[in-house]
Amino acid sequence: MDLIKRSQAGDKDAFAALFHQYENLVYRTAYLMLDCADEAEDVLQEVFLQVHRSLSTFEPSKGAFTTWLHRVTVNHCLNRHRKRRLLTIGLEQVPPLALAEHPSWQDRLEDEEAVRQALSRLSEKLRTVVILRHYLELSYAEIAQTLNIPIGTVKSRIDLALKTLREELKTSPTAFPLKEVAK
Amino acid sequence: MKCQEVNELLVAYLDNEVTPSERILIRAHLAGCAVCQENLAALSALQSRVSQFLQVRAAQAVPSPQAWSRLQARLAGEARPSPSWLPTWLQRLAPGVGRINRVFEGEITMKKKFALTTIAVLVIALSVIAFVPSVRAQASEILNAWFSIELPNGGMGGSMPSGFTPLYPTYVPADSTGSGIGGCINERETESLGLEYYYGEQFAAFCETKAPADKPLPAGQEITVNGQPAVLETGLEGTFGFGQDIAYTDGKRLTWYVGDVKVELLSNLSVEEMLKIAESLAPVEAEEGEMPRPPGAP
Repeated sequence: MDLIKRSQAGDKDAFAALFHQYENLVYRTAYLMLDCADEAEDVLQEVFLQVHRSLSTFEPSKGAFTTWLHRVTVNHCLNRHRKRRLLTIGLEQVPPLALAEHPSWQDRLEDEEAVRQALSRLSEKLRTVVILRHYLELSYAEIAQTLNIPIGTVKSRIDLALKTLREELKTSPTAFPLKEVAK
Repeated sequence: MKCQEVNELLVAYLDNEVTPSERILIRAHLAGCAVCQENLAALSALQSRVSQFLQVRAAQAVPSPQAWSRLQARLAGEARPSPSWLPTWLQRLAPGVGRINRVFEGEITMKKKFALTTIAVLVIALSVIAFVPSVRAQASEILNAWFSIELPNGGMGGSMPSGFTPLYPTYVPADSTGSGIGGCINERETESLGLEYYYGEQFAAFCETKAPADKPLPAGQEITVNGQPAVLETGLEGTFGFGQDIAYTDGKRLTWYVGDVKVELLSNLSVEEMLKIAESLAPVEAEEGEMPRPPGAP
């Protein structure tokens, strides 16, 4: 029996294994969406509390577990964005990354900072589709399912996001050639 | 295909999300257009740059090693029964906590008396809680266990109205997140309860108030909810949420009565989904001195 079925049947060890299998994915998605480690920790807790509560209603025939998990994660992050707006904590207020002495590292860090700033200036709707597409590598159909929006809307948002980023990054240095990155 | 048409499809083309016929047309255009080739190369480089940034940044982010033990503690806390004396006096002490008029009557209009009383009580309580660690720990546990009601799929909040028994949906769209329980004291300063659920960019918000004697209904399409007369208003426009961030142009408001409770449900979900939620309402179960809990909860 797989982890999900065992967890649905109340097997605590299976739920623990399920948590450990997906905690990085949930945490990292939340971290990218919220740009805050503390909030990502909170979202990780909230998501798995909800998964624990709602697992009995999850039907594998209606979609993959990961799609459901992405949806729950994104919804929690969007809720936090909504609440955060009241406090007007802008990502721009996050201190910039410290730059290293070595010129090549400095280039790389400057480039990362430029991309981070450009992403932070996107609206949350556009930033969300960029993260779902380019971090989670979801297809447009999967993004549509995750956000519960039409596939045409996904297409137009991704197009607008990329073109906005291109404008934002026009004046910043080009990407430092990165080595292979482990996901 | 012209350059503009191609340009509109280039991102989808790179993502392999165009139809086979679009792919053929785009390729044919690209073969003879240096400007679009340049555009394609720039967008492709940008995609790589963004992907690399996200992968690197994510790879550096690691959840706390205590994440699982924290979750275990919270799961154990949820299963633990709560003490039986607090909610009644807490409700008497701070009846207005969290009541904010958000959607149904316009601007935020917390009743002044409620607001001042609540603020005074909270300042005193928070001072004690903040500066005495043992009290802080106990208060946190008690408040979490008592001064709240859990919404389906996650959210929770505090403050129950005393003038009527609140109703609570036993069905909400799958994977929606409950964002809060508060209130919506309207211009008539009637005690009320507000519940909010989000589902991506869709929402459902309840405002419950004690029904007036004549139980009037607004103008609109006459329908029924569980056999009771109801009115559906459609084509509403506005913005919803704490940050007023969900703009809707297809908003609908369903108004009806359940016993002595007037219920208004504002949503941009489909009418079918709204009716399903509306027909699932059941009274919150709470005996004197007990924690309010969802209908059917153990």
